[in-house]
Amino acid sequence: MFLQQVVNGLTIGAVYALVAIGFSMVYGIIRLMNFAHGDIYMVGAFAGLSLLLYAKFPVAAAFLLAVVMAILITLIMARYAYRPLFNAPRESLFLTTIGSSIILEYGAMLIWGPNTQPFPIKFPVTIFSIGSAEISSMQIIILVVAGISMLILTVFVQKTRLGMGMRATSQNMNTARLMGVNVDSIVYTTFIVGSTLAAIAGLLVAIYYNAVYPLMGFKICLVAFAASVLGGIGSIPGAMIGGIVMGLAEALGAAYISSGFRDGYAFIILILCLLLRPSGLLGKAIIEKS
Amino acid sequence: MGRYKMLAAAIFIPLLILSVAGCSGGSKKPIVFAHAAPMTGDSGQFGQVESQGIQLAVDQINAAGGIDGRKVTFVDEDDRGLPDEASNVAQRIASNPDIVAVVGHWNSSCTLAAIPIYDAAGIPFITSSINSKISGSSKWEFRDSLTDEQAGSQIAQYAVTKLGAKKIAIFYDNNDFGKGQDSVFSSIATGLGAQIVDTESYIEGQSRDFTPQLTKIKAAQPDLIFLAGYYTEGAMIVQQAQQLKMDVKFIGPDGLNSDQLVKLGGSAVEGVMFVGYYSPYRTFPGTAQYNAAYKAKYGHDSDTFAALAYDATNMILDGMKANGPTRDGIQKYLAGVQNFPGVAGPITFNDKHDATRNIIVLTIKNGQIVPADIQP
Repeated sequence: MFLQQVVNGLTIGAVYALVAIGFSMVYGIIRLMNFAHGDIYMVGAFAGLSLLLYAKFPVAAAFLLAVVMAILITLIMARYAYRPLFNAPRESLFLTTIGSSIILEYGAMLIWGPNTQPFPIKFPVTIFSIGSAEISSMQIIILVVAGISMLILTVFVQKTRLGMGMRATSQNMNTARLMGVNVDSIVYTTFIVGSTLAAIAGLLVAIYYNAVYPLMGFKICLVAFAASVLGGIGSIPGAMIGGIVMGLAEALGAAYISSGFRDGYAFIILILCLLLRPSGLLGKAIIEKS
Repeated sequence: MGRYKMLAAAIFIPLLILSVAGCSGGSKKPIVFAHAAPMTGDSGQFGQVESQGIQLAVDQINAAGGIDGRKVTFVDEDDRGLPDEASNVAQRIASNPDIVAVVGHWNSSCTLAAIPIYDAAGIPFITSSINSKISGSSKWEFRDSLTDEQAGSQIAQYAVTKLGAKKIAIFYDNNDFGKGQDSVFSSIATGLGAQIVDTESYIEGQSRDFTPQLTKIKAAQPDLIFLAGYYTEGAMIVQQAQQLKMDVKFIGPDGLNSDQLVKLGGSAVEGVMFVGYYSPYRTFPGTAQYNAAYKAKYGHDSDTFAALAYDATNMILDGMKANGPTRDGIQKYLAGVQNFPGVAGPITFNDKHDATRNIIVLTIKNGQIVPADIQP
């Protein structure tokens, strides 16, 4: 059973990781906790649902377009809800993200209704056995897609000029600007990358659980936030590890301790880690100078 | 100018008073009752089908001339399946003097939250919630389905004696509905000689991923899983069990009884069994006509909750005819109901205002809800 629970936990964790990365990246660049991030995950799933069900697009086109739509919504939010408040006190910007989250959630309820809906893709599921565990083809797809996305992202951030610009901006925005980095476009790029990953995660989850509902972003945002903090906020590999740890903690805790408290285990791990290592697993202890 | 104003006032104010007085004196005002249920949310399906059953009953009585020449209407109040919302809804209903009765609520937690409010206001309500604490809680409360003790014990007996299950796992929704079912089912089943090999729970809305709990259940190797929850999570649980290659039968209470189970669960829910109180294949006097009328109006057969709501409405309407469309009158009538000819079977309220009836076991076959081959 342990192996099976690890498989379950890795699948849950891979999804958390994808969403946590976007959350962490935005914080790293502009020190903003974007609480509407989880709702982009939801928007990706619903956009996919509508394109497949109502507009009858073919699968690949629908997914691509769903991600594009999620990106567009993010950019609109960033440009019109966040950007005007960049120079305002931190709290105002933070509250705007919560406001945007509410608008997205209840907007989705108005458009699609508040009930859980099935996702119109019936994936032919084959189930493989690894030792005593079963893993379904859908779970494998989630793990593979998540893995590839994270790999591409790491290469992008480490090896490209744009990636270098992002790293520079996250270290110090003003210095990066002085060095000639186009900070504005870096910020938008960060939002785009984060939302792409979140939308992909949303689509994967929609197929896997065959369920989409307007509040699905709410819980995942909390978990993404916790995973980012666990891994060291602002660190991409940290967010990946944080997500996987949260997923494993949830599965193993539910399995071996009690299934009623399942959300609790992940957050208990978070608290313990922070007590021992306040900057998170991979975070750097940065002393802020003025 | 001032004089004209006075003149205008002198003319208009009396007119205003007269017109208002004229309106409120009408014995042609419609009679109103309320339907309190989850119209949206994960239990939303149930409120919607109940509303359809009620609408049919109301249309029929209005077509026959109403009650004493007055039309009957009802309002749908959405409690979203949440106890906090149920309290708000109950307050709104109770404080509206035009509303004379309530069909509701649906979720046990919501009914429990609403009882003190309806009791204080003195308004009769007929609920289909199953939690036992509802019995005898108020003289205004009436229950037209079974208590969780009765339903749970009937399912447990069916599972052990008719299905021959020896090792049973319980997976319940951690709310008033599921917890009640869990404790009753496990005590009756163990009393009959079966073994409860594992018990797991989940919290509604917590997660869509049930694989950790299912993996534990799978390791205990049960022959049957008692799934005490509602259709949204139920569909996902059954699907995920299939993914884990769990070759186990599922049986559950009436919370699974919805065609949404099929829409969300697809082919995985074939063979899942659950409790109902109505099937178009189990006929009582009036069942066939009811089902035909329902099908003509809504395009598909009626289900348990629409039928229960239809019967509840007709009982309320009969109460209005017998004792007048008042809260007291309806309550007096309901307290004395004996062998009311419901389309889901005859209804008699015992001294705790619970109805006694037998469950039907329904199952999904080819995407349709039909009675199971083996009945209790």
